[in-house]
Amino acid sequence: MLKILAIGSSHLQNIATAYSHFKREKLFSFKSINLNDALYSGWLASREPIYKINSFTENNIRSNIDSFKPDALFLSVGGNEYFIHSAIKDPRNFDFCLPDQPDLEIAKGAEVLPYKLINTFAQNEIGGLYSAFKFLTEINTNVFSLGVPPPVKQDDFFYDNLGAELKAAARERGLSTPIQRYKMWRVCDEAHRLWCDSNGVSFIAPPFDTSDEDGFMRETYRGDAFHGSLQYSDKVLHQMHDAVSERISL
Amino acid sequence: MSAHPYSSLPPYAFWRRSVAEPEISEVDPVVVGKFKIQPTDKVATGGSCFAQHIARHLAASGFHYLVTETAHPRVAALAQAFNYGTYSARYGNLYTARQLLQLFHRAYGLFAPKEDSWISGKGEVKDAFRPEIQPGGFASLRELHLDRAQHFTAVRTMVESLDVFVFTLGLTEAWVSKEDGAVFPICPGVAGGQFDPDRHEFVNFGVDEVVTDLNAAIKFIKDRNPKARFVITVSPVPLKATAAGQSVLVSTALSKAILRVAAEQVSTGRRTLPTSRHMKSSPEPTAGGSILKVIYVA
Repeated sequence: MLKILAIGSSHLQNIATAYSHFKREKLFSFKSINLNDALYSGWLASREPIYKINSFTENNIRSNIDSFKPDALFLSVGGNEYFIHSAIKDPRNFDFCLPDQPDLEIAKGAEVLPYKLINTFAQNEIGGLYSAFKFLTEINTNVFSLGVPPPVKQDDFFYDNLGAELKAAARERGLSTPIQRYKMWRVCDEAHRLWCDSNGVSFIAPPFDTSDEDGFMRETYRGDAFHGSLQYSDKVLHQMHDAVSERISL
Repeated sequence: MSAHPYSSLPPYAFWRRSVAEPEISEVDPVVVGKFKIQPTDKVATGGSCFAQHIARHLAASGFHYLVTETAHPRVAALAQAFNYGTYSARYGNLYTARQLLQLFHRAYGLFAPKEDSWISGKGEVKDAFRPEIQPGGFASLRELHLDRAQHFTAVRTMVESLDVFVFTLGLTEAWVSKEDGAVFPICPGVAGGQFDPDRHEFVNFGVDEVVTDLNAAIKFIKDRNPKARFVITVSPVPLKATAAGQSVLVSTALSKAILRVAAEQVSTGRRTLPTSRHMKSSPEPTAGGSILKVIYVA
């Protein structure tokens, strides 16, 4: 029986729930460390000059690895960076062109930022966060990182499923366009992949059939404004199983 | 001893008393300026690379340094690397007076050079008129066009809202398009594009051309912003290289001399003398004598 230990926050919470809900114990033995638990309050000790997790959290992760002895480690930390930068219309509304889809619409009246600028920004932010977990690659050679669920396209669903605070902000400033959300998700996704490629971590893209031809989350797999549904998480569980099985069989 | 025209002149008229004897930091050749820049005056800058120092000193000295093309607050930490704030708008180095004039013409839709972008083998798109404005160039032609449109808006805002424009003349040598006379900031092929002797040619502007271009640029601003005042400076930075077929030292001396004379002619003709609160100079020894190094300290 494969043993997988995952470290993350809200997206991981959904995966853990799906594991119980769909009774996936036969797939693999699973343990999750949810950084949103009160136990880990303040786990991100600093952002400047570098992202660092506090020693309690690191020691706790290490001791869990020692006792559970997993075959593989999965990261699902962060994931809301694209959401933070694209959910609500920025007071200085901005947009940008994707290099491989340069003709996607630009939000009306938005300032256009250079892609390289946004890309560098995302790499610094996301790479910085994941670097705080680089120590995992010294403990286990099978470290994977889960891609963030694709963005939601439908504005009404998106708005209805925001938290109260973001809803208030949306009423005041408006929502970004779905294309803005998609582009920011793409940039953050690429930054995440790049960090993984450069740090010996295997990136697991969102299950390919959960997004439509335009790259948005299919309705079946929407959870809320930026989380996947339990069905989405179940697909991720299968991906995790397949990725580790393949790695171990090599 | 009889009285003569020199007997009543102030110390600044004498080399020994005003240049040779004082500490170098005390040397101040400006003597008196035509106007003073007030802290509330919106000061815009442009010019050769030396103009970056002027921009920095202005901003650091409590002057109102006008920047009309600012970095988005979310990415402010990366502003410098992408040349936001290096000058009042993101036009990069403007080495020649012709380049300045053409920038204004392009920003107002009066000139659209045919060769305006370069695409590298790696797919990087460079703006032919600011090829080093950001690391890696632009991600696509569309991005370049959108960015350029915003940039031109920022240039127009600058032209129409500045109180003082500080322009630093840097070079007389330039490479231009044979097709329409567009002046490139650097030779095609150096930081983008491909040099083609059939399409690109070398020019070395003389005093008359610099004066004409600078006067036209000043008039262009004045026509749209009558309150504008001007500070013209000449960069002390030597040429990195010359294409004039002579020693780079000779080319540097000639270039700086041409620019200094042109600045003088423009300033006296238009009553916009080079000026600043303090101006310090130091002789910078070279193989052939000395080049007057002019540093403006706001």
